[in-house]
Amino acid sequence: MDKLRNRLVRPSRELTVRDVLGSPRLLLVPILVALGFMFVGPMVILVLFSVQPSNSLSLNPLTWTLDSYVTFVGNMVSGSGVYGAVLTNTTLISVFTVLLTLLISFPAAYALARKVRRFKTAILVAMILPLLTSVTIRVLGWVMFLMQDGVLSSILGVVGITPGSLLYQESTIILGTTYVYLPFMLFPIYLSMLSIPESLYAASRDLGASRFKIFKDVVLPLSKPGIVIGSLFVFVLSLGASVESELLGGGQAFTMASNIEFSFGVAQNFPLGSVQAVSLLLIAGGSGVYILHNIDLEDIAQQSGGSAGHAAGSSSRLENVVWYGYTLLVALFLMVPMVAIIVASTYEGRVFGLPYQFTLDWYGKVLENGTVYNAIINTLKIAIPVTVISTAIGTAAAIGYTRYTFRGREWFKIFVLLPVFFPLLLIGLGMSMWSNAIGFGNGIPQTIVGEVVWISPVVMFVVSITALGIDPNLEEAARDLGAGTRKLYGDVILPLVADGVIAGAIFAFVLSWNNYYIASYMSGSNILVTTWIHSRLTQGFSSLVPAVAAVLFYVSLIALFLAVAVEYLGTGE
Amino acid sequence: MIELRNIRKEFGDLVAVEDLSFEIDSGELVTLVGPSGSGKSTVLNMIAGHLEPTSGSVLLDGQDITDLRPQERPTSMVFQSWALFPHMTVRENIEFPIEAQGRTIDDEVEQLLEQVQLNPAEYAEKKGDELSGGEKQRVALARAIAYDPDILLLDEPLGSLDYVLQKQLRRELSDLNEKLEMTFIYVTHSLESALIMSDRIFILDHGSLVQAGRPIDIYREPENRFVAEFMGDANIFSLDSTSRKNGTLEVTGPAFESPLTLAGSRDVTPDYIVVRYDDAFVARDLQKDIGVKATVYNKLVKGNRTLVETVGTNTEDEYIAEIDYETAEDLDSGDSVYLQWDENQSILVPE
Repeated sequence: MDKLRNRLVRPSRELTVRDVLGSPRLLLVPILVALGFMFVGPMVILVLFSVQPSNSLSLNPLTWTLDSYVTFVGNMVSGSGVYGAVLTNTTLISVFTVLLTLLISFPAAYALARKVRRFKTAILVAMILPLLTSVTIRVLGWVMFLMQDGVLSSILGVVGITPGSLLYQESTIILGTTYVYLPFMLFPIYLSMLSIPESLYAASRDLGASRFKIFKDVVLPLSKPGIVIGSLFVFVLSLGASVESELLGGGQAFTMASNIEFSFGVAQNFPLGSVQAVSLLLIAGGSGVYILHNIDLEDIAQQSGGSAGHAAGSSSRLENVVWYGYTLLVALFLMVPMVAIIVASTYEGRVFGLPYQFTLDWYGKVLENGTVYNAIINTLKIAIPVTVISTAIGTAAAIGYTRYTFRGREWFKIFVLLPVFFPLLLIGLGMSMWSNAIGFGNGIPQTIVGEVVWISPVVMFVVSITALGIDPNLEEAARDLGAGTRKLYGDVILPLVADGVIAGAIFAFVLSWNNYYIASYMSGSNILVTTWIHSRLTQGFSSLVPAVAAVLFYVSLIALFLAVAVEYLGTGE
Repeated sequence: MIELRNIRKEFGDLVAVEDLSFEIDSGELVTLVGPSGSGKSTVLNMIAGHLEPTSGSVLLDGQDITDLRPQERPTSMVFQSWALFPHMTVRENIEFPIEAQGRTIDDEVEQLLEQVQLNPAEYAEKKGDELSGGEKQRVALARAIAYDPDILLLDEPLGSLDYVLQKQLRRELSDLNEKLEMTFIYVTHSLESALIMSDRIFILDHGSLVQAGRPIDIYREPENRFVAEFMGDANIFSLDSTSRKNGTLEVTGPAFESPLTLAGSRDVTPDYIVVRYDDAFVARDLQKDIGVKATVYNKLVKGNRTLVETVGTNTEDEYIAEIDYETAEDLDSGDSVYLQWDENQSILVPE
């Protein structure tokens, strides 16, 4: 009923409020300035460096050459050096990741949209949690789980199986990317399945369609937008997967991302690294524009508002058990690394062993360790300002975007949300090069700027979804009843989007708290929690590492529960 | 008095309202009716100030208010979706316009709730989502009246309510209109609502005002074919030629065997004869002034009346008469009949 009404009044939205209230420019300026400075700049610098002579470390606008492109493309084609391996490895990893995530997500998305009703919120939270946890922690968790004498091998050892190391293989990288990017496949498909009205299933059954026919002719075509968007998303992100290949692949398998890092780090060949970065950039940019152009934020706002009333189809008890079982299995898979970390953090020995000896000593040592303490303080020094600033910028942009019409509104949406679709490796790299080129430098304030640019769009997205769920007539009514601008915002718009703003702020904090790439490229000599964990993984691993990672995770967990609580109280359900 | 002068409204390439002018007196209850897309809601939104006319002006008691913003106009609107602020109680919703105008609040909320037949003790502290459709409608009305407007604008406010409730609220709205001495401008696509409630009806089509007048006048003398059809189900007989002779009209048309002579009181040259279903009669023999040969093909029973569906022998058009159930009992599919009516039941309209 509510949904129907929203649809009915929708045309009047465009024809009424927006063309009267005037210019939204002021609200959009901060986010555009931020992105112009720290997103466009970094991407431009990568392009500029890619046309510099080989091995240049600084920009010289007078000399430019396509040499590095020739080297890169030539080697790719001929397969000489590491490039042949890079091309096959990267393509294989990305393609397998897409296929695996699709295979795992599709039934889970279907079950979530139609079958799962009890504990649905809990299951969704478990599936969102990895997205809000640092990639280093998630990968670390898999290392804890898979490593020799790790969780899995210790458990298998009890039943007499002693596998060798399960790490450092190409398939381990695929496991990592599949794990890390699964939510990016799952949620687009889930959203498109939610938009299939229950009446279509009823009608199909009514018209005598078999299960297979319903699947083939109804579910599959109607969830295609979600499949396409999810696949592009996962493909692009796995092309840029760097932490996964580094830590799980152990440097054994060369991928695009590891090769880019190698060119910039060890080989110090910036132009060659930039060429590879630019090729990734083009793929990411193209897919990003395509995805964003095909995402209708208003539809998402309505899906998320109307999902509660979705009635499950009739299914037998056994069938329900299967659907629930499968969905829980997926949720469990997504929880593996977190559980492994917690288990390792409270084990008395190095990582894990049976019989299990419980201790909280490592947590005590975390607090005593000066470096870790400083890292936590540094991370907070970044996360708190980032939360405040990006919430302000993102909320302003969301109100400007959702409450007004203006020329280029669609392009504004695409441009502002684009950073979310770029591999973070590229963003971090570009930011640090841009920052050096213009003398902006690095350090904590610079990291704050970098993270604000990446996180403000996320806040804008979250607040927009809330704002688009508001009946546009409410704003007209307020005007009509004599409200000036202050009263309109103070008493109507802000209270109505408050839930979204709080959720956006919590997301902002969690994303900043967990950020690795931007932090590692921009923070200079300052040690942060995520960079500390990362460095300890490659050298100097101690039992302190899981404990620190666990602390990092607990903070995210508390924040996410806060977000769920706000949502829960807000809807009054 | 509110006056619209030569109003035009474009949305991109679409002309939603074209050269519209009318006046509405203080205290009148006027209904704007028309099919979807006729521009009636657009007109209402321009009076409210939510939309700016592309050209033309809106005048209130002779003063140009075209450039005033909604919050500066003495108009308030009751929305189809009611637009109650979901985060506020009924009381806070109703106090909103009073606060916005900087007036002090005494017992207005109680008075207003009583005016819309809601018990203040029971409803004042409830939130919007705890109310039924009819209750929301009443609160939205109370809130709009709390603004103390000169003109109350109602945009299909009864559209999503059930029929019984619609009837009841319709009556209450008419009563309020009289009691408050406020101008009501009511947009609806329900002809029934318009006929029952209005002092005057304005009929809009494709963004233009086709006819304005008292319900009875429009019903009896529709301006053209569109209005005639809009005002009730009717048979349409097209005419080939008309000629005027000593105050009478002689017309010919494909449906008629021979020319008809009619008392042509209006100066317009008619293109059609319109005969409402319930004015038309069907029988095997010709009993009325004018008859058209036809064949019965179907009967639809509607309570104690029957809709007899026929096909004209000359035109193969469908003609329908609504007659007594008993009279229709005699007729069967395939019967040759006359679809017939008395001369004074012919409504003559131009295209």
